[in-house]
Parts: sequence; C-alpha cells; structure tokens
Amino acid sequence: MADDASDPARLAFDEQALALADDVWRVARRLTRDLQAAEDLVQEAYARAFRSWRSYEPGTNMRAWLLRILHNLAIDNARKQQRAPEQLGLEADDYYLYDRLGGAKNAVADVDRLVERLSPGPVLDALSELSLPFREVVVLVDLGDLSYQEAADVLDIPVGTVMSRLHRGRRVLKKALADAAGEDAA
Amino acid sequence: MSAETRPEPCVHAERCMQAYVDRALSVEEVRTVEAHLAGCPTCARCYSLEAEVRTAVREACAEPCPESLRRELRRICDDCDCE
Ligand SMILES: [Zn+2]
Repeated sequence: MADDASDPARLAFDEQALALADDVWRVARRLTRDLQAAEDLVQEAYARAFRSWRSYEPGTNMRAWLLRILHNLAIDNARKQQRAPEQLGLEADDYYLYDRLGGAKNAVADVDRLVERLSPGPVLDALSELSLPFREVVVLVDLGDLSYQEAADVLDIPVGTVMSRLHRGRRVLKKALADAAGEDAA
Repeated sequence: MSAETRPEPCVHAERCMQAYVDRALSVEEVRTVEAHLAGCPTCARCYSLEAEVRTAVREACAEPCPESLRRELRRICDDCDCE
C-alpha cells in the first residue's frame, strides 16, 4: 500500500488519472500494433504516472501530461525494436475529397453518404498506414483533444512542426479515405 | 479544381481550414472564414467534408479501455510504492 494513500491530493490525482483511461487507451491503441502491446504500454504509462505523481502540476492538462509519459515510453519501445524509417505515403491536395467525390453537383446528399462510406475499417487501415510521426500528431490532436501547443509539448517539437505534420498526415489520410469511399461507391 | 485556378479568397479559406476545424483561429479569423463560407458553396462543402473526416476518425477510434485493463490500472495504483 502506498505510504501516502490517505493524502487527499494523491487520491484526487488517482481518480483524475484513472478517469482518463479511455483517452489514454485510444491513443495507445493507435500507436501500437496490437491489443497486447497497447495494454502493456498503458500499464507502463500508468505505473510511471503513479510513481511520479508529484511531478504533475495540479490545474494543468492531466491528459496532456499522461500522453507525454505514454509518448516517451512508446519511443523507447520503438527504439528497442529498431524499426526501419517509415514513409509518409501519398499526399493529396487539401480539397481532394471534394474533387474526388464529385464536387458541388451532388453537394448536400453526398455529405450524408460520406459518413456511411467512411466505415471504421478503412479509417483504421488508413491511420495505421500513416507513419508514426504523422500518425502520432493526428492521434494526439483528434483523439487526445490536445491543442497544437500541448501536442508540441508532448512530442517535444516546435508547434510549427506539429501543424505541418498534422496537415500532411491528414492529407494522406484524406486521400486514402477518398479512394476507399470512391471504391465502395463504384 | 486546382490551386492555380482558385480565386484568392478560396485559396485563403483552404489555408485556414485545418486551424478552423481544430478551433485554433482567432475570433476575427473565424469571422473572415465564415463570411467566405456563407457565400462559397465549394469551400463550405470542403470544410464540411473535413469535419466529416475528423468525426469519422474519432468514431472509428472510440473503443473504450477494456474493463480488465481498467481493473489492472486500479491495482497498479493501489500497489504503487511512491513517496
Ligand atoms: Zn471559396
């Protein structure tokens, strides 16, 4: 049992951290190749978070703090595996989806159908094909709900790099999704 | 539709799209963008597609933390020998 188990600050920290398990899990899931690796990563991250709980500054974004721990562990693991550098993939123009899906001709009806076309399978495939530095930024902002600055702090990169990776990562994603949607429709 | 043939306000709208969807624009920039979107169906549709993609990513990744892992995290918390 922890020495400070009755410390109200510690109890508040524990509850707040555990309440963020879904968010941490969703990010971890996209940074790892399978369920087991994601579970290991989240456990490691929480073990480290509970050990170093005093370094969390109350009032700051705890989700960002936890995701920073998660990110640091994920790079340690990636380094151990010595994976080959990944390629970004094909980028599309920002308005590629629009061009690809037929433009303004069938404007209103098409928006509704796009949601149906973007089923989870192709979205998850497209995400997993994105190389890690790009996928990580997309995941931190879209799933972790971090601001550009918070994502920059988590990844220890300039905010401009966050924005350009996010932008380029999403362009690759959009191209993959537009192509998947187009195939389904054809 | 290619970048070269797009009118300047549309090019500007495209440049603002990411930051707009991420709510990272200033109030004034938002106003400028929304004024353009109100009168430009092409850009308005591109913006809504962008938001759709964002929603699709969130929905595809919405799986909650498994209960077994949640219990394990609670155990790690209770066993933690931190000072
Ligand atoms: Zn326009």
